[in-house]
Amino acid sequence: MTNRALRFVLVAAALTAAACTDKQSSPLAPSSGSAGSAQPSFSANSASGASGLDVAAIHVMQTKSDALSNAANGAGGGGGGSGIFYHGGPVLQAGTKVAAVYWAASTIYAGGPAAGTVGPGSGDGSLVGFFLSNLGGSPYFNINHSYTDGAGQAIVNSVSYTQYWANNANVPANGQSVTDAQMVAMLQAGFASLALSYDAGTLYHIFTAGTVNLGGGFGTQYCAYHTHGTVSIGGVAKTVLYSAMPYTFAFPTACTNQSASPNGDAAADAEVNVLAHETEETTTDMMANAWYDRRGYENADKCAWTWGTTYKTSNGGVANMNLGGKDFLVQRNWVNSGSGGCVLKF
Amino acid sequence: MKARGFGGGRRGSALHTVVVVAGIVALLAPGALVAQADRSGSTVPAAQQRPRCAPIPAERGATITFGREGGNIRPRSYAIFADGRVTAGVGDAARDSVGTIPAAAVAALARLARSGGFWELRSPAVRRPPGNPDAAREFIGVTLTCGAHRVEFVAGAEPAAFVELFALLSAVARVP
Repeated sequence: MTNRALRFVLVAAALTAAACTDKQSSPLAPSSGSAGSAQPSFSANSASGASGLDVAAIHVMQTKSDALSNAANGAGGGGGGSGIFYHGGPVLQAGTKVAAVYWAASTIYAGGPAAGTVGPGSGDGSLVGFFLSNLGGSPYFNINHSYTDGAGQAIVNSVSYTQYWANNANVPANGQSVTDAQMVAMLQAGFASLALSYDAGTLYHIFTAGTVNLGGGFGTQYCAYHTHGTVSIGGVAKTVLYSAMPYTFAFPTACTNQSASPNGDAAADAEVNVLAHETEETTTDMMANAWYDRRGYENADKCAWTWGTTYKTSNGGVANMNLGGKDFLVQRNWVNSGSGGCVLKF
Repeated sequence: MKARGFGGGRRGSALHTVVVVAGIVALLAPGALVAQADRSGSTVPAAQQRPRCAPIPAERGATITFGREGGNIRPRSYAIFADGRVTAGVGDAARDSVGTIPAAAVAALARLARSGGFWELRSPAVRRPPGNPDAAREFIGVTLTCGAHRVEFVAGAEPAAFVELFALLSAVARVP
């Protein structure tokens, strides 16, 4: 047998073995700014297709000034010795506004909005909604205050959960891969029907249930991600910030910390960890051209799946912070101060 | 999407692992070594080409490390030692024993890494977040007596030589 043939056999066997080891847990439950006039200035790096969708928006071209800045700094722009650098792009400086889109046939997270309803963030009774409503102003989110925009203005420690849409139309099936174009089209439908209000400085979190595979790499390449696309608002192309927030509890090994839930809601407790990650990254690197390090890691990437000091909660769960009276276990975030580091508060 | 190696799940059957490990050991056969030399265009058997290129002794560290890191997914790494020990953990602290494979299989894996295209791979320069900034980076590091080589790629954007070796290592280590 030739080496090539032998390698083929080996790899085929390996792939067979790997393919047979794929596991997805059964989802337990089919369960999901006060920035005011913040109007971030977007870099013109989104090319809309005829459909109005910007499927290539997650690819970012380096500007000449960035390249020069990078060269002068060995890879990054400003940022001193904190281990993360500014590259000239916009941030959500005046505060972070978020909206939740629960894209499922039924309520995703316990206590959450009923399918087919819309409302203000204050009407979301799920633990995910509670987290979003209590994240802003916390010592934890204040870590983002250590980052600035291009004018040197520090990011405001504010998260405003403005609206939700429990969209039960054209719901993707379990295991179905959903492309960015399809996610943007879904948001576009929400804006067109007025189920969603468009705002350039709002991060639209798209939650799904079960094993819906937002982006195609859920559970193997990532547990969630943030990016941006282009929608048409009143016939004008606009950038929309969004995150893909699959049901992380469907992949407990890869996407949950596997410790006891501090709130007795394992699915939502798992989700808020990756939710914090995406919210922080969008705040400081909304177009993927602002704050990241020499390896391309954004602030939350640098501290993902690290917890700092934890404590036991009254129900036997594990947590590392209290927001609004509830305990959560959420990853640390990178502070852009001094020599930098992963911290739980700032 | 089918999990290529990581992704969480039940362990594969013992039969699969036996098949894979047996196949790796078969690489040690003289015929296979000559075949490797033939593939590279040389008439000198591979074993003679690099007589001192072997897995580093286990007491000096792991011969092979691989796994994923970065992005928004739990990091995980595995280490395979020359004596066949396989450990798992996070980053360089892959210390939890997860099994043992024949030492001969480790040598064969090392040889495959040296001659199967992996050694020619180079990590792409990252000057800004990749297409999906939250996608993990997958890495493979091999340390032999004749040198060390480590590369990493954004998950979903790896070249074939990397994918093949990564899948093989995942199967050998019985990555869940």
